Amino acid sequence: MTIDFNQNYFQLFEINYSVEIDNEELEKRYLDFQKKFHPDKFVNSTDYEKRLSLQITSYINEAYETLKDEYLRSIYLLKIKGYEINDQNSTLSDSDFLMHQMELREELEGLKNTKDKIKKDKFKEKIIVLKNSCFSDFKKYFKKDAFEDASIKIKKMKFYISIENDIKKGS
Amino acid sequence: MALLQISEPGKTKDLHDKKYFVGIDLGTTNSLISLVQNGSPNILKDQNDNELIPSVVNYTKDNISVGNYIKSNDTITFRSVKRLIGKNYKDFLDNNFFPPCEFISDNNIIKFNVYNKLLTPIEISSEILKFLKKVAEHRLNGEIAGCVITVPAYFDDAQRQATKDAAKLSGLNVLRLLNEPTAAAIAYGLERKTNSKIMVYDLGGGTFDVSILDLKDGIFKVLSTGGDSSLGGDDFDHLLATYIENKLNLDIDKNKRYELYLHAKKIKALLTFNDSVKVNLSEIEIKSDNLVITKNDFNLLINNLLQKTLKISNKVLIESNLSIKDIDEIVLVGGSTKTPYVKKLIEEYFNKKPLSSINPDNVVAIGAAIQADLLSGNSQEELLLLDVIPLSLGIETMGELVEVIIPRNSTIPITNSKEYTTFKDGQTAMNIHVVQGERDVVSDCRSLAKFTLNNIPPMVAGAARVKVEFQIDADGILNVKAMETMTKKFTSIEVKPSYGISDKEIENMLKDSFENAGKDIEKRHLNEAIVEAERVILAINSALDLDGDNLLNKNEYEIICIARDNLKEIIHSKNKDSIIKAIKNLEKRSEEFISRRMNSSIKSIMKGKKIKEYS
Repeated sequence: MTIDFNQNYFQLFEINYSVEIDNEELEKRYLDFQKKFHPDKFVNSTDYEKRLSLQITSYINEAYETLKDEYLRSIYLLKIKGYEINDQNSTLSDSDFLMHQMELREELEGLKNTKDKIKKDKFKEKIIVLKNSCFSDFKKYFKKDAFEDASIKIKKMKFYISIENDIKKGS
Repeated sequence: MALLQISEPGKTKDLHDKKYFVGIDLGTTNSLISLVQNGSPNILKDQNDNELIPSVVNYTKDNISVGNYIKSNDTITFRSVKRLIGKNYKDFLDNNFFPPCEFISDNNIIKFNVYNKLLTPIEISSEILKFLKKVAEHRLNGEIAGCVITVPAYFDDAQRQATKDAAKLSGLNVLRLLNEPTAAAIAYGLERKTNSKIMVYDLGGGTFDVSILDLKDGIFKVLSTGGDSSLGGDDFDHLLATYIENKLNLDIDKNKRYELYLHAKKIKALLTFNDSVKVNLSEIEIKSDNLVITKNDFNLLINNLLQKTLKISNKVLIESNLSIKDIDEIVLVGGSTKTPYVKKLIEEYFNKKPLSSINPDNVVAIGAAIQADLLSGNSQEELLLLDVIPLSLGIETMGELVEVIIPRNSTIPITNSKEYTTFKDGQTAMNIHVVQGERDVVSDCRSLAKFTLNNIPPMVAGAARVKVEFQIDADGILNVKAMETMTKKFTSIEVKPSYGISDKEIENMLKDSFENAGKDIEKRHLNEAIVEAERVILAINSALDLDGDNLLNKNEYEIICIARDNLKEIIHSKNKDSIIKAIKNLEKRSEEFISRRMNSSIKSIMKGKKIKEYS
């Protein structure tokens, strides 16, 4: 029982480096791995095997969660291309976007106390549209190997995701 | 003539060498032990042929008995000890547990004085497990080689650890801790086997749990789980008791009210099978004036609570990105789902008849037996269970904010790590504070452990990097490691505190997380702004100290200082927007200075000279 921990997540699941992937294929491989390596299969094994199984399934779970999610997958792809996005460099120095962020935050704030579900849904809809357009821009840049521009789009997308989560939390 | 058989020492085991793997439902009120025999799961009965064994432990001066209520003056009886497992002394005082004897706090651990012996809830629970083990060994005439014990989905790290410790004390080998709703789904899943999405609605005496599971090609994956750990059938009884009290205009004391509450339980049970019940309280010496309670009266009383459970169920559905029509099966668990109105509301809300072919009292134990059988390696079934962590885990960062490292509903086992950096120049130590909960602010989450990472090599702020790794195993138990990545200095701890989050606290934490989401975000943004402001001020000060005199004239120097002092002042205003504005202002005023610094350092490198030397 062993896997190569040095390979990246795409190699692990034998999936092409791409922004768009076949989710069903990914899930199928993931479940096959689980059937093989899950700690439940090693309850009566040696401590060494138990530990190994724990490490492998943790790695597989992390890899799966990353590839499954389009945003996490995109960040991971950029990292492979040498454009790592972390807490230190994730701020944008785009003052127009900053204004835009503040406006959306204010709008969210204003919706907090309203019971108007239609208004809330509309706002949510708007955020999703903005997010999706950001993501399709990202894909365009990424395919052209314009990783700098692609990174900026992902950083913007992160903001929309955080708004989306705040809407979910508040609803 | 029959010879007396004398076995060789050490070989007696051969007499009953068969090894069994059992499931245990260690309940608050009742416990069950079960196993799979010849492919079908069964509950094992005690010597009195009972399947449900009351979770009651009696101590006399020199004897311990389990499973029956003994009313005598020289007996100390513990009930519902599960409420205390993994809790500390403070939690215990907040909990409405009725202590049957004197108790003390020993380093914040509860200890009961039982005939001059100090016992912890873990030890008392272990007596129940010992008894269950004996029941099984007696029935099977064999050895119990391993067991699966079920725990509420909301049990936190400490409660899980404490349950495992109790099992260890009782001599049981725990193969796995299993979440109760998951166990119930397994019990039904094995019956059906078709690919389906299952919702488990578990309404017990004191808690409500809901989980969504996806059964696909022999793999059971928990998609999400949620609930309310202080909502259950006991609340129905309280509402009913209050209703009677008001209807009869009673003026009663606390003790009488408790008796009325116990009586309300009986009325509730009667209403399960009757459309109306004539209240008779002569037993507790209350005149009931021909009061009649109809099923409809009762339904109206509990309607609000049930609507709450439906709301939570819907939220959990949304969390797994599903809607009502995606659910193929609904499984009911817990005694409170026997109430006809509960079934009716669920059926209406989800537009589907809930499954009820397995007795809701047994369904968790049956699932546990199946899982034990699967883990034993003897099973013919190809079923694998992928469970999730119910509460998010994170660590404290600057500004008392929580940085989530493993979000709730992540499939376990899982590892995740995050890098943190030093805040000040020359910082050599870093505190790691591990918390559990759904809120953004540390003080609103439950503190699990604190440790310090020492001997970080002194470097400028931001240069030292500490990697913190969280590992959650298949039982949902956590292990945290921290390492400084440059020197590879290692600190490792097992998060094993002597207490856990009280049910009430988890309940409140989750509830607050939804209700106060708005307030949290506000607080979070403000804290972030303050941290950022402090960081900028530190950076500017250090730059001014080094190069201010060389690169700026007096006027320029002054302008930056004014912007900086202005920011310092505005931090106290606690107004996020003004702080951000002041930061921007300071940054703008320092732009020229920063770019001069950049240029001068490039120049100085090129010339191999220090700035002072060449200027």
